[in-house]
Amino acid sequence: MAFHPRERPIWRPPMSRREALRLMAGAAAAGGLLAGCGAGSSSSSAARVIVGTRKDPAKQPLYDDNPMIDSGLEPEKGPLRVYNWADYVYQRVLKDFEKEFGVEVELTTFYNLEEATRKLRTGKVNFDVFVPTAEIIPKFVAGKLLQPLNRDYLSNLKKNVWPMLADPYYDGGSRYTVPYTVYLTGIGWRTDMVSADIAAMDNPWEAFWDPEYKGIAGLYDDYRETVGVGMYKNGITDINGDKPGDLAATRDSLVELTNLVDIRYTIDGAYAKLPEGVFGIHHAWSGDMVNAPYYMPKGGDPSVLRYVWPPKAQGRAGGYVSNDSLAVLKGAEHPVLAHMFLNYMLGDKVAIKNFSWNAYQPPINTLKPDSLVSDGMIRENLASTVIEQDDFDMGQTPQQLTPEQDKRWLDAWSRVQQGG
Amino acid sequence: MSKLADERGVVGEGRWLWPTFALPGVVWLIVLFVTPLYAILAMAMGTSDPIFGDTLPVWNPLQWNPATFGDVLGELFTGQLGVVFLRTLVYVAVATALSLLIGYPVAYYVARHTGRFRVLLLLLIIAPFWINYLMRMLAWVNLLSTDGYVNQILMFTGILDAPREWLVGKPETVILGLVYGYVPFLILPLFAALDRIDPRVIEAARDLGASPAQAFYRVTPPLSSQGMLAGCVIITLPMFGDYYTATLLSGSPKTNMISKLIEQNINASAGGNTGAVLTILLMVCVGLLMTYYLYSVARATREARS
Repeated sequence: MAFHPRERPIWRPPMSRREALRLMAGAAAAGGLLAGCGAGSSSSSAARVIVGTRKDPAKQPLYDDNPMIDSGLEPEKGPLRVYNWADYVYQRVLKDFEKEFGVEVELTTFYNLEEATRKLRTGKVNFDVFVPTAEIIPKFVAGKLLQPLNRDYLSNLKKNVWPMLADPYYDGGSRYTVPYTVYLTGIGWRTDMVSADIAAMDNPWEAFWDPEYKGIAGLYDDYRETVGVGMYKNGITDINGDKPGDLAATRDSLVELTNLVDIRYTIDGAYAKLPEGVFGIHHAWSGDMVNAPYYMPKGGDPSVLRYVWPPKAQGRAGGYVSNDSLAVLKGAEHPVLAHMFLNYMLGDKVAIKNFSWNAYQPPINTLKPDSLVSDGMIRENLASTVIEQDDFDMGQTPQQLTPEQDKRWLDAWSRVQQGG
Repeated sequence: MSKLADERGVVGEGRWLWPTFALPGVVWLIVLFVTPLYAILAMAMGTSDPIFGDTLPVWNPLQWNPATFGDVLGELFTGQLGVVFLRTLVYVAVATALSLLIGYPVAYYVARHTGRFRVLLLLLIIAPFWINYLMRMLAWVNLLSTDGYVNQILMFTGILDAPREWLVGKPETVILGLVYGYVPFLILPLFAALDRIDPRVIEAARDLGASPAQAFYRVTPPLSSQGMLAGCVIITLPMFGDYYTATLLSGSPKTNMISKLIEQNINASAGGNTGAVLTILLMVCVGLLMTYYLYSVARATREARS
């Protein structure tokens, strides 16, 4: 499925290995095509993909052959094996956990969810903790890749987490997952290259179709996100559907961008190339914009950076809002320790410490939007990157498309990528 | 040929001995070429996983579903996909021709005029390969940026009045990247071919009254044509599969090559079929070029013998 570039280390130079690695991950995925062949299907016909929506929340089904662990067990000796997005957790937080529990933590990273899913489905990897997107959880439960959580170990869930995500629409009762971070998808721009106030537009997404920004406009190279931009531009907010008319209009709008503004598709455009001045306006995840000031070249002025999440603009246009989560894998060798790790990450101090490096905001009650700015964790000119619980009612949450829908989205995207 | 082998077999001990030598090669081909190829076919004609939605290979040819093939072929001939194939072909052809123009004089110089420094020079030609390909492309991103050195030099020398936007979906930038990335691979086989030409052949041409220029173009290119062809094949194949050069140096759909579409499809769960079909189409395309290569090598060998 789509991938997020969870890649925002503050301490690395703008042009880092990460892009290179990500590209190589693409090459590896080509190899994965073959690896996938041997994997076979881990799904049985009995299991069904249950997709909960904001309007119609769902509990994920429990299966007899996939029990949860008993309460009151002692944690295993470790090592705890965490399988996470690249650069998506603060190493010091892992070190703290090691110290507190007297175990080792082994971190393995991946660059896109396809690659990770293929690996997990082989059943031949023995990770304990995984970081699925909210969108993919239904598939992972139906494919029996996750084990149900025993909430006796997760005291921090009810205590610290936003109520809406402590009992989330996609996994009612937190049967399989706890939330990790929340994000918005909006638009980042620089006031020194873009004169208009994008946030004041009725539909900020239309800015990408403004020929004035020819050569300085960029969108994410990610079909789940970017086909959505085409929909929002056309005033369509059903980002979980595939009406032929909607997709055709979306596709045509995006194809038009190729020559109209010389649009470019990137994965590092928002956090790295916008501060470098390569782009003046870019499709942007909130966490990428929180990171962007750290990528400002020497002498650059981070106060030129701006961010808008279109649902909060005047015209109340559409915008993605979603979250990532933490889960214990079914094949975990250290399930008790993994539960304790999940609970540890939901500790309010730990979550805030992790955020200080990770830049993707945890949905923690004590993390108040106002204090994020006043404490200097987020710059004032980027205060609009802060996420609140109510944002989930303003924007749209991407949900798992059916394979047929997914194919139609991808076909529209393929056409866009073929050029005008 | 086969008759000869039969006779030899009748004679005795050679019957199993000689074919045994072919075994490692045959095993290699089956394990690393035929099986993956079949896997790609099985993916192209495969079904979709009911839960994960990704493509599952179907190993039994009787159950193959050619629907995706039909869709992609339809797009190839009536839609934009044909343009992408054509674009890929043009980029690779231009880049190969440029590489040849750049590589030939270099190889010629190293093979003919460098004496004891030739090993050093060859090493220097290969030296950039000590740096990862992606790193070198990322370096070009910096060099070609609006205020990068390339623009500065071009403006200083008066060639440009204003900085040129190299990185905004320009085909020439992508072709430049391809040439830069692959030209050393062309130089090495060319060097080997040029190095093998007996200098006395050229001296003979001169003795027989050819001018220096005539002696060169009547003798050297024909005798190194196999090296040129081999070099071109060696760089053409990876260029067809190259998607990151265009991604890094452009990022615009205007310059996307076919391999970028393959990468995008394979990296999405619903795109396995399409990715596999595109892979096969690209292989057919490259296969035709290889056939021409093998054919011309065979012809040249025949001519050399007769």
